[in-house]
Amino acid sequence: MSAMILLIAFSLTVAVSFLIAFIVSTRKGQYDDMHTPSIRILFDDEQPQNPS
Amino acid sequence: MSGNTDKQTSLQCYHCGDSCQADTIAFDDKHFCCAGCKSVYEILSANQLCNYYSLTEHPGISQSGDQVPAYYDFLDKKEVQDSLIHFREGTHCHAEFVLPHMHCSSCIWLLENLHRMHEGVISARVRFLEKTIQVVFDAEKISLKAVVILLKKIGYEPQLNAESLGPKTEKKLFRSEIYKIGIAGFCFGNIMMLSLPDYFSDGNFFNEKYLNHVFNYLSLALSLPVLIYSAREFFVSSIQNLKQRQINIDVPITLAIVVAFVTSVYLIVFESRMGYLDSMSGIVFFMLLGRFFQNRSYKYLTFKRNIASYLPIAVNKWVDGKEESIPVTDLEIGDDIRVRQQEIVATDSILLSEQAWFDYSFVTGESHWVEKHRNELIYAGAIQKSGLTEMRISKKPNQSYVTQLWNSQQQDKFKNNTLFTTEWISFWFSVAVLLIGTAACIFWMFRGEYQIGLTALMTVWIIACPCALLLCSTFTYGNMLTILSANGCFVKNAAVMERMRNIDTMVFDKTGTLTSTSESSVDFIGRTVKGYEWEALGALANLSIHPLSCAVSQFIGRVSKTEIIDFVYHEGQGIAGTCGNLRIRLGSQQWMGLKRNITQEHASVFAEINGEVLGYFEIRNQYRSGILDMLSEVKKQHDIYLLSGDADAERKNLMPVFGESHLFFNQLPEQKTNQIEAWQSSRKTVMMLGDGLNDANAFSKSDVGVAVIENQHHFLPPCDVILEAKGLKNLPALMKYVRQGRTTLLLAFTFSVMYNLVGLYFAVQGMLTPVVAAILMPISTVSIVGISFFMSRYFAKQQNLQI
Repeated sequence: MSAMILLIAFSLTVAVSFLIAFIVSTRKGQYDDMHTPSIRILFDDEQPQNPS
Repeated sequence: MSGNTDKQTSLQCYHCGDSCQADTIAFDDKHFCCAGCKSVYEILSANQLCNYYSLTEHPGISQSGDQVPAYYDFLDKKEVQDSLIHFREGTHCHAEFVLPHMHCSSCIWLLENLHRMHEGVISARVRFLEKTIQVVFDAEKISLKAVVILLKKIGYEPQLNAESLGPKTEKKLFRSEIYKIGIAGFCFGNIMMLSLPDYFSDGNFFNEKYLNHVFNYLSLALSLPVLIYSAREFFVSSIQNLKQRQINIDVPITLAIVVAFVTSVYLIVFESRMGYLDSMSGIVFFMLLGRFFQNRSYKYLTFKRNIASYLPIAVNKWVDGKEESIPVTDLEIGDDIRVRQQEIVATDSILLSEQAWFDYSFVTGESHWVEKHRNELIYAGAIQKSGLTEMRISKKPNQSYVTQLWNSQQQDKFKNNTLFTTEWISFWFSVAVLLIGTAACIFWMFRGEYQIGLTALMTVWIIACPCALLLCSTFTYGNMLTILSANGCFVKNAAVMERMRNIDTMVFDKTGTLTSTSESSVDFIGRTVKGYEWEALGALANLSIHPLSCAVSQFIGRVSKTEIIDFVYHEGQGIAGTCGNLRIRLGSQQWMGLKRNITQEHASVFAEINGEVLGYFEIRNQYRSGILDMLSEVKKQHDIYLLSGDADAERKNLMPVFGESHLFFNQLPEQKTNQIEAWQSSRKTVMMLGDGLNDANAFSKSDVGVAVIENQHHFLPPCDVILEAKGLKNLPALMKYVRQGRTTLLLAFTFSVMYNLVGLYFAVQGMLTPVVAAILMPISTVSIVGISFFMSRYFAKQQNLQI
C-alpha cells in the first residue's frame, strides 16, 4: 500500500505544476482578454505585395 | 463588384456601407458617401491595407455627419502624457486608448496593423471586448499626439476624457477572480480524488489506518486555500450585510461553508472519517464560476459613470493673446477660454463672443440647437456649434450645474428594498433547514441516540444548503443576461432583472427615445415653389455640411447640375449663393429679417430667393421605425405613458396609441420625477425609458431606468438597463422573455428542491453517507446548469430573439 503514497505524491506534484502554470499564465495576462485571440487567429498571413 | 453597385438605386459606400446620397464620390471604381470615407480608403490603399475590406463587408465607420475638428495640443503636455503612457522603456512608450468605434473583426485587423502605416509605431494590440488598443511607439519617431491623430484619420477616434486619465484598477480585480476560480477548481478536483476511496468503503478502504489519515489530512490541507482565499468574498460580503442587519445571498452560502468545514474537521480529527470537504470546495467553485459567468458579459459598458467621463480633459485657455492648452482641473473662475466648433463646454461659463449656437442634447436629450448671445450663461456639457467662441469661466468644473445635477441623483435607490425574490426564498429555505435539522437532532436526543442526532443535525444543514437554489438563479440570470445583450439590451445585474419582471407601467420619453436623433423628416411650409427654384435651393443646400442643410438637401433630393457662384457661409446664420439670376439665401428666421419666433419648436430653415421669403423647411425628428406597433404591443401587458419635455405638437399622432390621459407634455425633469413618484405611490411598478441626463432623476426614481442609446459610446446617464435603439422594437419580446425567466427559474428550483428532499430523507435519519452527498451534489449542479442553459435558449427562440 505504500505505493499509494508514492502515487498520490506524484499525482499531486503533477496537479500542482499545472496550477503553477495556470497562475503564471494568468499573471502574464493570458486571461485578460478571452475574446480577441479567437478572432485574431482567423486572419490570414498576407504575402508582402510591395517589397519596399 | 463595381458592376453591381453602378445601379443608382442601391449605391452603398464602399467604406461604411451607408447608402450613398445624391452626391456620391467615385474613386478607384468605388463609391463613397463622403470625402471622409474616401480619405480613409486612400490611406489604407496607400499602405496596402485593403484586406480590411475583404474581412467583413463595409467595415468602416461613416465619416460623414459630425466631423469634429480635433485639437490635440494638450497631448503635448507632460502631465497629460504621463497619465496616458503607462510604461516607458527608453524611447519606447506604451499607451492605451479607448476606441469606441471599434466594432468588428476588420477593425481588429486594421488596428493591429497600425505599424504598417507609420514607422514610429512598433506594435498595436487590441482588446475587443473592452474596446481598447495598446500602442507601443517610438517617441523619437512619432509623438503621442501624432498617434492619436493617426488613429483618428483611419476612423477610430480615441476617447480622451478625464476618466481615461484616471488610475486603472479593474485589471487586477479581474485577475484575482480568475485566480480564485482556478485555485478553488484545483482544490475541489483533488479533494474529490482523495475522497474517492471513502465514497465506496465508508472509511475502511485501507487496512492500514495511517493511509486513511494521510488522505484525510491532505484533503484538509487542500481545503484551506479554498476557505481562506477563494471563499473570502463570501465571508466579507456576509459580514458586511449582517453588520447592517440585512441578509443577502452570501449569508446562507457562508453558513454552509462554515458548517461543512467545522463538521469535516470534527469528523477527520475525532472519527477519522472524510467529512464534506469535497462538497464545501465544490460549492465555492461552482458559485464563483456562476458569478464570473454572470459578470463577464460587458466590460466596456459601465452603468455607473462618472460625470468626468463626458467632459473634456483639457481646454484652450486664452492668456496674453496666446492659446494655451491646460487641464480642466487647473481652471479658475474668471479665466478666458476658447471653444471650437463641436467641442464640449467643460464648465459653466459666460459667453464673450457676440453670438453662438449650442447643442444641449448632451444634457437634456432634446436635440435642439439653442442660440446664445453675449453675456449669457452656458452650462457645462453643451456642444459648441458655431465657429471659434470665447467664454469666461464662471464656475469651477466640480461645481457646474451638470455636475450638481449628476450628484443629486447618486443616492442609493434600493436601501429599503432588502430582500428580492431569490433571496427571500433562500432566506426562508435556510430557516426551514435550520428548523428541520434541529428537530431531527432533538428527536434523536430524546431516544438517547446522541451520536446520530449530532450527525443528523450537521448533515441536514450541509446537504440542504440553499446553494443549489442560489446556483439556479446565478446561472439562469447569467444565461439570460448573455442572450439579452446579444439583442442589444444590457441589463446591469440580476437584481434589475427581477425588478423588470414586476413592471406594470412603462413611461416613455419622446425625443431621442421614440424619435430618432439621426433621422429626420422635413416639410416645406410656404408658397408653391417652381421646379427651377427647387433645383437652385437643392444645389445651394448641397454645398454645406451643416446638419440642417444636409436634411434640406436630402429632402429636395434632386441633384442638379446647377452651378452656384458666390457661395457664402454665414456662421450660425445660414448660407447664400447665386444661381443664374437667382440670389438665394437659406438660413434662420432672424437672418431673413423676420421677427424671431420664440415658440418655434422644430428646427427650421427659411428660404429666400431674390429677396422674397418663400417659406421654411421644418425639420422634425422622425419616429423610429416600428415604434407605434411596438407601443401597441407593449400596451397589451402594461400601462404606457408619455412624459415629454417637448410641446404637445405630436399629441394627435400619439393619442391613438397612448390615450388622451396618458400623455404628458412640457414636463420639466422635476415634474417627471414627481409624476413617477405619484404612480409608485399608487402601487405601480414603473419602468422609465429615456435618453438624456434630464431623465437621470426619473431613472433613479423609477424601479427600472432604461437608457435608449444610438451607439454605445453615446452619452448616457446612470441607469439600470442600456437598450440599443435598434433593439427598442423588440421591447415587448424582451419583456416577455424576462418574465419567462421565472418559469426557467421555477423549474430549476423544483429540481434542486427534489434533490434536497432526497438528501434530507437520508440526513434526518442520520444515515447520510459521504457517497450519497458526493453523488447528489454534482448531479444537482449539473442538471441545474443544464436546465437553465437550455430553457433560456428555448424561450429566446420562442420570442424570436437572437441567441
